[in-house]
Amino acid sequence: MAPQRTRWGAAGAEPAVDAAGLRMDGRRPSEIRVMRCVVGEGTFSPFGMGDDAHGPTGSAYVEQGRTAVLATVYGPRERASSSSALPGSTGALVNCEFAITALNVGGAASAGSSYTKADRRSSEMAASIKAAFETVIVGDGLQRSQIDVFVHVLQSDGGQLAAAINATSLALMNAGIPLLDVVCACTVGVVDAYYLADVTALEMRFHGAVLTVASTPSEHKIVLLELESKLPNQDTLDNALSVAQAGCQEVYHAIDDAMHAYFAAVHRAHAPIRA
Amino acid sequence: MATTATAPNAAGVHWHAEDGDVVFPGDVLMTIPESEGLVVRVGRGVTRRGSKAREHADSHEMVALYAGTVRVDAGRNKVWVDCDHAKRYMPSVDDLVVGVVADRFADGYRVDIGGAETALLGALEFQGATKRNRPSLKVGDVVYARVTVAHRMMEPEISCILPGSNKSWLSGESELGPLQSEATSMFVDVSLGYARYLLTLTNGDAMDSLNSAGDTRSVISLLSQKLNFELAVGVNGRVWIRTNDPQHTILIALTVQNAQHLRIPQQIELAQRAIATL
Repeated sequence: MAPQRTRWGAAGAEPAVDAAGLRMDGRRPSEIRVMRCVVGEGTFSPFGMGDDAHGPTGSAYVEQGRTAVLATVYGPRERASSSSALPGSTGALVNCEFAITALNVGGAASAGSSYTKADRRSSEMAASIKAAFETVIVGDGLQRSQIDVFVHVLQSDGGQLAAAINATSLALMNAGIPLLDVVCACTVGVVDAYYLADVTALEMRFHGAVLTVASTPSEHKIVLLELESKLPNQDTLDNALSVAQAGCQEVYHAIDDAMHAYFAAVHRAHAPIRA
Repeated sequence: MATTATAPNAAGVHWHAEDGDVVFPGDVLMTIPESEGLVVRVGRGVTRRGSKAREHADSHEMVALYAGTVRVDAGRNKVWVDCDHAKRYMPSVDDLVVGVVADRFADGYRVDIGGAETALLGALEFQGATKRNRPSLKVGDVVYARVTVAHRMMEPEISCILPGSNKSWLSGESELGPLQSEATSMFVDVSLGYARYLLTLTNGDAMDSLNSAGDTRSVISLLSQKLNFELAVGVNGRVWIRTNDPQHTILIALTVQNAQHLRIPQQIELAQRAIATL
């Protein structure tokens, strides 16, 4: 039995999951939030020469509930400095910059702190995203190239890293960068006996453990797993992982729909390549 | 993601996708059996599962690498994935590309072909060129060339010699070579899929097919009815245009570039409006 925890947040002592089995926003514990994705809106190529004048190679905007993230991808392009390549590195260099707008730094816990690109939390998130995608980007033709990923959190309501990873997956697919697999991410909060998929900021105030899991939908391989709290035992971890994997599958459906919508819009514009 | 397999064909190959399906990275396209003498042609955008991790060395599932349209020729066991919206060119051998000279050495040039690296072009790699008789290119000149080396370990190399052709570069009739860079020429960047589409319209004997009654729906054939221009399309997503009048050049360039985002009827309307402004 998990020990009793002090409950902050909502007025009174609102439980994480009420008697009817619903969470504070009306979801069931294993339901993820509504996802809305827009792919490629920022990549219309205007007239011009030079690399950046064309805008990003790929871009995607993802909303999960009230968390909104924009990811843009530039590349593959020539490496800024070849000396930064470690000996034995076999793939493209993936650079990631993660930024969260100042508006989203709020709440009593972080009053007065400023989130910039150079912030430790931001660089940790950027490093996680970089590590996750370095394993799935096919580096065969890209030994001397780099791929730049820029992630901006525009609205923050929990699950920023997961949304950032989902948006980056879409942006990389939009850019036409070869990937071994799509990467989908989901958070799971462990509060008392409940496993809450896709936690909101309010639910995070219950101070349960929060897991962020990124996995591949086809083989369920875990690409990234972040957990900054203690869990009581191994079973809790296993249960949380299976809830997270199920959440990742749901995320994949949303990503699938978004890319199909993008293809439907783009391919209507071109006549078929083959007769 | 859809992994409904068809019954194996005569060679024992299971197809999991049909020609024209939208596929995602990681989707299984086909499963091939372990049989001697089976020839499977795998093109761009397909790899064997596990080939990176080396875990599934004996697995015979072929997966897609891009989010795009899969092209299947089940009869000849051919499969590849078209990623039409990709803009970033990755060189492969025998591609015809439009390049810009970026640097010049004693024995050759460094040419930007839009990929991650610049390509090398030897000084003598022009049709009919000798040490005394070869083009002298300046930085900024445009060439139409063929990729000869594109290996992941090496810098790409290009050449302006077309095998099987005997037209000298001097006459200006050679298919590959320097493209006149005057004030009335320019090139624009388009997506790779659109460039390939333009090449299917203007394949082989380029000028002849434009003048034929064939495809009157395309932007290029519509423009060619009113204007005289020279056009070179590179699979690296570049279209080079030259006319005698700078105004015409800009008009054609903008029309071709904007047409890539439109449907065919809209493209025709765009071309007609462009001509009407002349």
